[in-house]
Amino acid sequence: MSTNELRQGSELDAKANLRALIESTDDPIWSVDLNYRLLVFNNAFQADIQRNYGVRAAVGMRTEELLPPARDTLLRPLYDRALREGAFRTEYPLLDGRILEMAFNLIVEDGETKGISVFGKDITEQQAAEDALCETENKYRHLFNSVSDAVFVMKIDDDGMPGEFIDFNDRACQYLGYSRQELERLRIVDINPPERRPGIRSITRTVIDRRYWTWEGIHLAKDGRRIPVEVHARVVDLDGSPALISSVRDITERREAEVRYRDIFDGAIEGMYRTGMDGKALATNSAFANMLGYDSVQEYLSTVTDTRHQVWLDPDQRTEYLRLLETQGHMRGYEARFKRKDGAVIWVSISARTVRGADGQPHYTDGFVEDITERKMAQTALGESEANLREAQRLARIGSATWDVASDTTTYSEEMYRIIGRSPEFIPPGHAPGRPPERAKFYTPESFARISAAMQRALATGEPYELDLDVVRPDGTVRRTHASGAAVRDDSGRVVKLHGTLQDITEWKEVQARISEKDALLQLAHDAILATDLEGKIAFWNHGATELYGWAAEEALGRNVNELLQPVFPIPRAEILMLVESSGQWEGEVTHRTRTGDAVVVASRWTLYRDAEGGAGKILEISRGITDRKRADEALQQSLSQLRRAQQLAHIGTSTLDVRSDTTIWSEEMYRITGWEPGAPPRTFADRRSLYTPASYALLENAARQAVAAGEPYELDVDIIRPDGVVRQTHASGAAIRDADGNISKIVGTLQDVTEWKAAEARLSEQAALLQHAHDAIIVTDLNGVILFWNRGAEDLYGWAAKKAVGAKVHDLLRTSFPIPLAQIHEVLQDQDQWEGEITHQTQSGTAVVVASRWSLQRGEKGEPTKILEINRDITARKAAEEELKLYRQQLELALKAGHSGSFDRDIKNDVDVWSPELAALYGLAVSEFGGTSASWDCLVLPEDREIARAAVQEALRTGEYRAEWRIRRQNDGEVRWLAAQGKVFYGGDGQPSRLLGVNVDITERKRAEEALRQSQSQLLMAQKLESIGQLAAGIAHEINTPIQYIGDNATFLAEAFRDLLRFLEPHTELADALRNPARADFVTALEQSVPNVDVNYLRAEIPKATEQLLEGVARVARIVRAMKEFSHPGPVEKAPVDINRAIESTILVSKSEWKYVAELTTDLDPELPLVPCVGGEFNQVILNLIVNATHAISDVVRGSNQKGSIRIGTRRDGGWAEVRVSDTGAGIPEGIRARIFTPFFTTKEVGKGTGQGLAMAHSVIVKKHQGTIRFESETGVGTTFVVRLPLQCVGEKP
Amino acid sequence: MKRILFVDDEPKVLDGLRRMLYPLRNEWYTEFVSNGREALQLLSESDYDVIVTDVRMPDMSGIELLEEVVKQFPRVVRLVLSGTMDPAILAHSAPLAHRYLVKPCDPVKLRAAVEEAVRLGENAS
Repeated sequence: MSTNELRQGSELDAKANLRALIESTDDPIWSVDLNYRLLVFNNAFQADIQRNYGVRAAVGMRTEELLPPARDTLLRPLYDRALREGAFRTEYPLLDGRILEMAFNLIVEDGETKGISVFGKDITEQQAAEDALCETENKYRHLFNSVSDAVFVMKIDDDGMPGEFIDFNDRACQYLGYSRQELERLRIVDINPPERRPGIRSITRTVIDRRYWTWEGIHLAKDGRRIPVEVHARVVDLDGSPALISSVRDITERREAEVRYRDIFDGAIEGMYRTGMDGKALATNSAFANMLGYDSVQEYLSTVTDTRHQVWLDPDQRTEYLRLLETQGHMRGYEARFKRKDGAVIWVSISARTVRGADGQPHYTDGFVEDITERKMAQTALGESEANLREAQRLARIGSATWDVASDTTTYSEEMYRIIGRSPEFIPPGHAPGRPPERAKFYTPESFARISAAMQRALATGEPYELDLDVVRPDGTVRRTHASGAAVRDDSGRVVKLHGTLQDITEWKEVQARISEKDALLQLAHDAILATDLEGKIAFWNHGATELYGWAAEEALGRNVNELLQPVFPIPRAEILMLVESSGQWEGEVTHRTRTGDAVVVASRWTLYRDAEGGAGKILEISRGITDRKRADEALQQSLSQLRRAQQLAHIGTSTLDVRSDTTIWSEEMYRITGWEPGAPPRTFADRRSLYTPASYALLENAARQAVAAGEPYELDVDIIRPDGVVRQTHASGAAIRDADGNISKIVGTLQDVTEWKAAEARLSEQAALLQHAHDAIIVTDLNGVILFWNRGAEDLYGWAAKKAVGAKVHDLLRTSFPIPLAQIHEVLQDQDQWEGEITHQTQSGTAVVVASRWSLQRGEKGEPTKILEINRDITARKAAEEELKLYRQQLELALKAGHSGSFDRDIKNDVDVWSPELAALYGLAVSEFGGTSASWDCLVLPEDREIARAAVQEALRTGEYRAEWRIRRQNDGEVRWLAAQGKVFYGGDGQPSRLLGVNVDITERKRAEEALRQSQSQLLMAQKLESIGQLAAGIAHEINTPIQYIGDNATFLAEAFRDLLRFLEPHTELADALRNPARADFVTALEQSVPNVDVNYLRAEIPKATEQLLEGVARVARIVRAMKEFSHPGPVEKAPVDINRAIESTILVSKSEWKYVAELTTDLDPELPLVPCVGGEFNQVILNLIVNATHAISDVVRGSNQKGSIRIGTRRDGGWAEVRVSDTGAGIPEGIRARIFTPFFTTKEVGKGTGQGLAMAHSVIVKKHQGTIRFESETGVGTTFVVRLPLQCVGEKP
Repeated sequence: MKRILFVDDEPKVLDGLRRMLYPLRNEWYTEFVSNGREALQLLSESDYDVIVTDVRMPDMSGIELLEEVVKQFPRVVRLVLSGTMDPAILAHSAPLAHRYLVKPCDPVKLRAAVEEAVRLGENAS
């Protein structure tokens, strides 16, 4: 073959192959020429054309021949396009619904286009898929963009970091603030803040590992804002490689809300909490923590790990609560009890919801909690009180009915039905007058008449009614009731309704009847019987109580027993009440106070008396006074009767033991004693072991053995144990019985239960000891007075030993003297079983003793008198004291009488004044003449003094006592008398003043004497003054006369001098003439002659001095006169503000002649000293005295020498005082007399030189008159200073 | 010339007296001292005819002075010129003094008394 051939051959092969291929495919393939006539086509094409268009394709056919016009128009443009553009692909829908993808190609041969080939590809499914995908994609995209969260899809790079964004939605752009283009260029890293970037890798890793993860992060917006975000990321497989889909939620708002929420949460008043399902507290606010008593949220969270047990009171309740919550999803107002930190329980109301997680399971509960404890308590209380109310109403058994007039209908309450015995279905009849009286059968005829009348009246006049009615029930029983009714009016005043109540008081009536029965019985009892309510209000008080306590029934009823009797209980009253209520009774000893205030010990038995309903009603208190002797008396009685009883109980049981067969037979009594069941007795002795206490068994066994062995009888005390465990004391005896052969065949034993006997014996010896030791003398005699019993107390009191006394006749032994004859006492005993009185006995030594004696008659079994019990208490001492008191009282009365005192006793409350005869006499009345009230006393008091008297009494009422003086007008002679009164208030039990007791004394004489004294004192003062003035007169005269002397002398001199000077002057005037006239030569001689007669120099010198001294003398006189005037001017008698410096100066001047010879006197007077309130004249007197004393003291010292002492007088202000000091340099006051110098009439001067009044008067004036002080400081050999202080009382400043 | 001694504790009185006796300055020789001791001193130094003394003086009273004068200088005529009429003083001085004058004594009376005293003295001697 040639190459061509080869080629051709291959070409042919190729073509064939191609042909084969083309033919084999299902896809249509064809080609057309340039005129679009079919050239080649495959079977598939043919088949399609055939199928779709029903045309058999053939070569050369044109498209319009192949296809319908519609399709043709589709195809042709495609051919055109092929020719124009060359190859291309397009989708082409076939008629049968398939979609082809047609590939158009140009057939080019040798560079020439010859035709168009078309390869069709059925892409119907693919298309569908594509469409579906497109749809999905659209949906997805829609979703993608419409979701409110930002969604990012990104690759995960090989290094495990999130890579490029594959896709993101619009929201992503929005929240970050980037445009789409900008964001496309970014990665996750870029939108994270720097500090978070390092963590991205590990988060990515986590997402990859877990496939899904959620976290919170921060993203950076374009503008730099940090956005808190919540990211949910998922790993997906995208085209074979892992990709991340992240949805990002901007949680800024949520964060803010959380913060706000947290604020709310924390600050809320309501408690809020979040608790995990396991009970773990996840979050709470302060309100919740505080509600539970925790100091802080932290404390709560750290302490409470399990709310089930630590918070919920009942963990089961929590389970229930959770169940409900789960079912309902939420809860409102669920009430539960929570425990606080301190264990206290509170009621809460919870509103909560369960929060579920992504897994649909509840994760935690969120709740609001409110503390409703108080509300609950109130509710409970309310509930209780409501219950009480209902109960009370029920107990009170009050039924009510209302009749409406207009409609003539009646309504009954439930209780009403019950009372009248009808069922609730029964319709109450009307009450209109015209109706037949159906109601008549409710009542007895008489009651009916009364109720009808009452109702008519109520209807007509509105008058309310109340009356007792007998109601007849359907079953015929009659009930006593208490009915009441009232009218209800409308605005116009017409009666529109009648309200009535009916109370069933049948039981009450019966009870009342029984009570009065019982009443009578109770009255007869000797014991004190009271009934009180639970608070103690006395409802019943019998005669015995009156006897014991002294209060009559009228006085006691209604009072509170605790106030009246002032009981002292062995245990608190409240406890007693509890015991009484729980067990029905209580017994014990109580101390009561009688009306007179005496204490009595009573043995008291309390029982609870319940009313018909069983509700607690009253307490019955039965008391018996038991002072020691009574107790002894009773004890004795008791033991005596016990003794009797014991004797009665002397049953004896027997048993027989057959030795050989070791069987025992018991008597009936034996069974009774041992408590074993009748039947076979315990066979062997050993079996009976359980009968005895171990000790007793040993004894008995031994004895029995002995009996068996040697035939010895036995008798001993054994203790047996009964089957019920009770131990009884018994007396056992046994003896052996021998048979004909002399062998012991039987042991016969007896058993006697002596338990009571033993007890009685023990009791008896106890009692005997008691009796012996009682302080009182206890004597028991028979009816003839023979002493049977004589206790220790009797031995002590009377001196007779019991041995001597027992058997003797009591009244002989004691030489009794009775207040009434013994026979009478016996009569009383027979009648009343007891007697008491005071008797006098004589002791063994002959001394008389007075005893308070109580006798009691003892009776035997049949009531016959057997013995007399006498209990005596020595009251000799008391008697003596009483006598002494009486004597004392009498003495007191005498003393009062002697002292001209009278006493009074005023009952303040009742204004009753009781005067003693002496008091009446003071007022010049007889006791009978006195009115007896405070008013009648008041008018006896002098009118001017009535206020004082009344005020005194008021004072007493306020402070408890008074002391006062007032004048009265004596009634018998009209004379005015002074009384000194003293009184004291006594208080009653209520703490209020109840009595005023006092004494009045006639002090008129004293008052007169006082007055006289006062007068003589002032006279004395005056005399003093006069005396001192007199004393000074001479000195003053001297003082004045001296300057007058030289006044006169100077004046005389001046007159003389003047005459001389004139003589001198005359010639000199002529001299002038003479000089002018030389003729007068003789004149010169005359002149010369005159000179010697006139001592001009002398005159020149002396005249001025004379003038000066003359004037000085005049002034001096004036000063002295003024000083004298001031000194001796009496001045006001009352205190007035005085310039004491001036007064002192006057006094100094006035007294100058006294001191100037012996002393230098200097003053240091405070110029700022204010005016001092004082009596000027008297003050001057004091200062004068002090100066005179100082002068005398100094003259004693300087006499004989030509020395002078010194007197210093100073004044100064010291706080509220003016102080004057007069110091001298005398010899000082000797120590021995210092205490006495202020004493009146005390003087150290000789007779005639001073009367010793000076200092006494000074003291009196300064201290008493001026409330000042006068004291001295003295040092022997140095001098004395007197210090006078006067109060300033801030009168005024010295101007 | 008669010599007269005046004694008074009050200097102003002595001045007054002195001036009052100015007209008689040529007739009488007068000395004025203020206390008794000085007076006695002067008396011992020279003769005096009359002594006129006050009574109430510190240190040595007029009475005491006159007692001394009587003792030591019996020929001196003694006059008392006193401010006081105290009866006690009067009583005491009566035996000691020839005349008792009371202040205020006018010059006429005084001069008359002294002149009389002088005459007395003359007569006595």
